[in-house]
Amino acid sequence: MAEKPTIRPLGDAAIQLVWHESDWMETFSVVHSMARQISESQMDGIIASIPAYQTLTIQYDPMCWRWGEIAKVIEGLIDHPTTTPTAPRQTIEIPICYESEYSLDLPAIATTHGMSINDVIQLHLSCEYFVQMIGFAPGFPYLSGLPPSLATPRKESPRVIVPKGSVAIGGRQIGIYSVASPGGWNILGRTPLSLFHPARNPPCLLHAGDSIRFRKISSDDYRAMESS
Amino acid sequence: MNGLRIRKGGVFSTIQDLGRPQAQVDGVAVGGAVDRISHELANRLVCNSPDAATLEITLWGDELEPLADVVIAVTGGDLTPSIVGPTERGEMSLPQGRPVFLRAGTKILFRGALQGCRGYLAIAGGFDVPSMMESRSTHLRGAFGGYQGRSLRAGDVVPIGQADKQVGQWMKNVRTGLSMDQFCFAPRWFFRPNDYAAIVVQLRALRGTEYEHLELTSQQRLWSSQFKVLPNSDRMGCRLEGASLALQSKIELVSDGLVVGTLQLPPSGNPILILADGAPTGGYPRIAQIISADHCKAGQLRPGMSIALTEVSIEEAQSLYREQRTMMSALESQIAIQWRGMVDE
Repeated sequence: MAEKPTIRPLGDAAIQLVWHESDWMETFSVVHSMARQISESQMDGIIASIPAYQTLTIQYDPMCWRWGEIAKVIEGLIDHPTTTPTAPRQTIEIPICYESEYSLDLPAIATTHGMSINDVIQLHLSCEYFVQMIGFAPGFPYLSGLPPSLATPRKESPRVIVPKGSVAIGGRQIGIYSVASPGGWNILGRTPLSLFHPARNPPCLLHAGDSIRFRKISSDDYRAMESS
Repeated sequence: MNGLRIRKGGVFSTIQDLGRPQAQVDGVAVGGAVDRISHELANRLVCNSPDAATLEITLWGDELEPLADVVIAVTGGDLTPSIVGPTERGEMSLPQGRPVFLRAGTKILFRGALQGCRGYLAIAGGFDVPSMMESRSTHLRGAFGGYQGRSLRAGDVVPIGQADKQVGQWMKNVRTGLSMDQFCFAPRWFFRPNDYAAIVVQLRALRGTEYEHLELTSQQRLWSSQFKVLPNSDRMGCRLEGASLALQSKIELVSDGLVVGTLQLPPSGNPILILADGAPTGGYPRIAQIISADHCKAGQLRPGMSIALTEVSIEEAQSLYREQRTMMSALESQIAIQWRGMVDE
């Protein structure tokens, strides 16, 4: 059981709950359970609540809540948690192409770890990953589950544009660039799947709590899936 | 079709409203007008609801033309707007901070930023672009919302919604009073609650979450020195440069919540002030937090201007915000009174 979170302000219109565990998986369920509890309480003047690895940021309207008032209410919720069962999330298969045009940093990743390119691919494919949070860009999943032997430091100078769909390693984290964006993570491969579509309901393909398995595809498969 | 035609694109103009806070869980920026006070005022002046979509114009360059008779209001930074009639004769300055009747074919030009950085053009009826993820605001990075998910350029025609009844009545009255060669009419009353003349902008702030990690001299410098706004600033963030700021030791943060007004300190030592299009999460140390009541001022920072920070308590910050909202409610009632006067005459 995770310890109780502490609270702190983030500016004059947000309050943060902070868990001090280092185990992300353990914190995950308490962060999301609290997020649900707050949404179910249907308090007035709550604008958004945004889960991250170890925090929950609750944005509120200072016309409805003074700092002292909101802090007291949140402390009350912390002291009386309603343990709603976590809704089971889905396991999603993500096709990934490792061929050279889609995997700009794969050779460098292999060199860094003294492995062959094929070993890196096999190791990457053998693991299951977990969506810790969505952030940074629309629909961008931060994944845990990367084997420590593939952890690769961020690049010294970020790329001006990382192509949409790039699966990339940043330290111990792995993410998928849901939109083209500047970025400093190491590109391992690319998926033709569209992770974010604002007109779709829900707009994001992946959600916090989902599990992911990667499936290797060829560049022909990639192009076929991309155009379909 | 009624619409606003873009004759010439400016530096950067997008359709904005009050944003999509609930979409932040999907990694989507809150978005919306960077200077919400000016956005809201522009809407009130033309009898729109405060969340109607307006055009946010950055610096200069736009040339616009309504395809039908319209009522507009321009607020925010002074971008020296002017108008030229359909017969191309006689450029005159466009009155700001009040409703203005314009005949179809009048050209609206933005000549340059005399004060502030962003102007807001509201049109009676609002810009009628599709709502996506519960907002009409342009999300540039996600390439959606607003007008085709991008900034406006020559040839675009942005559709306009149905104006309020009072506006329709006023337009009728105005038309009967105007001669054929008159293309513009505005009342004498106006509201310009904010002044953006300062070159060094005072912003009030709270200590940030990682403030204590700053070296002691950096903590002092944060409050005592000025920071210059750099040219690569945009709607995501205002990039600043000034006294060197350093952490006591390097800290590794996992991605965590960010809100508009967060002052981040990346490894370069040049702080970034998060604006409306900033990502909802990030991993740089948060050294200060600009108070909500000053977000509108932060949204009017232009490259070359400087900021100076003053520390306030969270209680002061919240009471300043409540004062600002009270001021906006008072403005709203005054504008409503002026409108009733114009229609009843």
